[in-house]
Amino acid sequence: MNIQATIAAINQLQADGVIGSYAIGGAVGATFYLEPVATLDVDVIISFRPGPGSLPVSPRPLFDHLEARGGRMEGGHIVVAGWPVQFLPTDDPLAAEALAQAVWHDVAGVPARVFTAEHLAALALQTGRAKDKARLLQFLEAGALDPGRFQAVVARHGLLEQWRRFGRQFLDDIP
Amino acid sequence: MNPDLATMVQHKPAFRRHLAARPIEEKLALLDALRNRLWRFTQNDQAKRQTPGNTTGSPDTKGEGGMKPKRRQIS
Repeated sequence: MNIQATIAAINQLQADGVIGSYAIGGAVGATFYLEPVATLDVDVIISFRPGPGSLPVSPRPLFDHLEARGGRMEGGHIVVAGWPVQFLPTDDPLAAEALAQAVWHDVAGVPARVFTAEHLAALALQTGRAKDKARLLQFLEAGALDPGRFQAVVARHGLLEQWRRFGRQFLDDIP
Repeated sequence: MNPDLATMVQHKPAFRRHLAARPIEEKLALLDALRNRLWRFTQNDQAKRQTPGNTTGSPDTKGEGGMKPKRRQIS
C-alpha cells in the first residue's frame, strides 16, 4: 500500500490519454496543506476525455485501463496500488474551477496535481458535512488560506450565506 | 499517560503545525500507515461481528457475537 504509487498510476492514466486533467481532493488533497488525517480512500476529480463517437462522459475506458494493469473494482472505488480511488467527474462550477486552477506539487520526484487550499476549503464549505466543517476549521486554524482568494471563491460560487452561517457557528469566539 | 504524550497533548496546536510542516513524502507515508491501521481495525470489527456458525455476515441476534439481542418491546 503506497499512495505515491497510486499517484504515479493516475499520472500514467493522463499520459496515456485515458483521462484529461485531474486533481486530488478530499483528505489526501488537504494533507498537502495540513497535518495528515486518516482516510480510507483517495478522491480524484477528473475531466473525462471522450473517445471518438463515445458519450462525452464515460468512465468505462478508465476502469478497463486500470483493470488491465492490476487494478480491481471494490464497491464504488477502483483499488490502485492498495488504495481505493474514487474518480469523480466535475459536476458543478466550483469543482470545475477547482480542477482548472489546481496546482502541481512534487512528491519525491512524482508530480501530483492537487486542488488549491482555497478551493479545498470552499468545497468543504459547500459540502457541509460535519467532517467538512472540521476540515474548514483546520484550514483556518492553520492559517493555510489566502483570505482574499478564499473570499473571492466563496463570493463567486454563491457560498456567502453558508460562510456567514459557518462564521456564526464556529468563529464568533475568534477575535 | 506517559510524559511524552502529555507534552504532546498540552502543546497540541504546536504539534499539529509541526506535523503540517513536515515534507509531503513523510505526510503521505503517514497517510499510508493511518489507512493501514484503520483498514485492519475495520476488518477486525467485521470479523468480530461474525460468530463461527454465522459465516453469512447476517446479524447474530442471539447475542453471542458482537450484536446485542433484540429487546422485546414493552407496551
